[in-house]
Amino acid sequence: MEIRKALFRKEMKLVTLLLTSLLIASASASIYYSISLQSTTTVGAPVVKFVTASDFPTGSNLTDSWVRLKLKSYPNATLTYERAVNISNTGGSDKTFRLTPSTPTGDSSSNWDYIKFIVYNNAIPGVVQGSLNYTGGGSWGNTGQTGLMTIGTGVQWTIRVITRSPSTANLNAVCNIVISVDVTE
Amino acid sequence: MPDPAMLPEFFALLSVDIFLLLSLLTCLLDERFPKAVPYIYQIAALIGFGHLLVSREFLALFGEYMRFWYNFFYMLVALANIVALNVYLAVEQKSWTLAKAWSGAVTFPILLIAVFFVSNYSYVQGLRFPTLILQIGLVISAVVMGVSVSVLLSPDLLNKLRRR
Repeated sequence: MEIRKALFRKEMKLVTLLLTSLLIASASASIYYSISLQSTTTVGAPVVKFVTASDFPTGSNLTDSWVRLKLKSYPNATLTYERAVNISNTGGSDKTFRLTPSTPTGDSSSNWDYIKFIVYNNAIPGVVQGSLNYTGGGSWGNTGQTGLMTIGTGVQWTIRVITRSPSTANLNAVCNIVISVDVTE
Repeated sequence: MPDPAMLPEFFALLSVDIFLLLSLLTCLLDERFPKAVPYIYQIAALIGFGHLLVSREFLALFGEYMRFWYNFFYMLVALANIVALNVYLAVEQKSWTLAKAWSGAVTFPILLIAVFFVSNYSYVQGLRFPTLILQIGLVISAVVMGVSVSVLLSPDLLNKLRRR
């Protein structure tokens, strides 16, 4: 009976309510904190993007973050597009990016010896910043993802493309190559 | 739009704290309120906690606008409870002194805080909110709270004013 009285005393009630209040308040605050930590992703215009260059091949397509180059290749001869396409950083700070290859599609790889994509800074003569080489022959191969390259704000770099086909290449053979630009913050 | 420094869920968090405060105050004044009232407020605070949990899970689904309104509504319920307890003390219990103390120490300070945060949020988020009402509410709350603090610190002040 005494215990029962003690349990129902005002102080006990207050202490119990105080403890549960502390529990609820801190749990709610932690939930609010976790909500405030959730990131939001806003789709915006890319700041590192492709722009046309002086040797941009005729019939090629370009949007900010995507480019389809209509490149030629000659049997037993090397063809160089000095400034096939440019990469520009229009953001307000330096950006780091890299080029990531994918497996080409289209006609047989035996129609090409290699297709090289070399990233230069825009100085003449340019300094190689990174390169991506596709090799034909029996099957397509590539040198893999380029290293990270840091491009300054408002700066344009250029991509030189060099193609070569073997003497046995079929005329009008076509291959499609997709290269993606991965930008890191 | 600027970065949301304050999320709409802040109003739910504030309301949870208001309910918990009411729970403790009604427990302290348990001879004037029904015995169940402190526990009811604890449950109301728990509902607010659940409300925050649901809000977190469906953050992407509910837009900012909808989130603001359901959190704001929950805060209105909490504020209405404060006012209701004040009216209950004044009208039902006829405890005028306690009602006055309650309005000066609880009702108007909390209204002031709530109005301040709502006006700040509506300014930052560019929300279409009747800012005039908020400003009037802010001024009234601040004046009443100031008078209450003055009376609390100097109880003879009212008598002196009456004599004049």
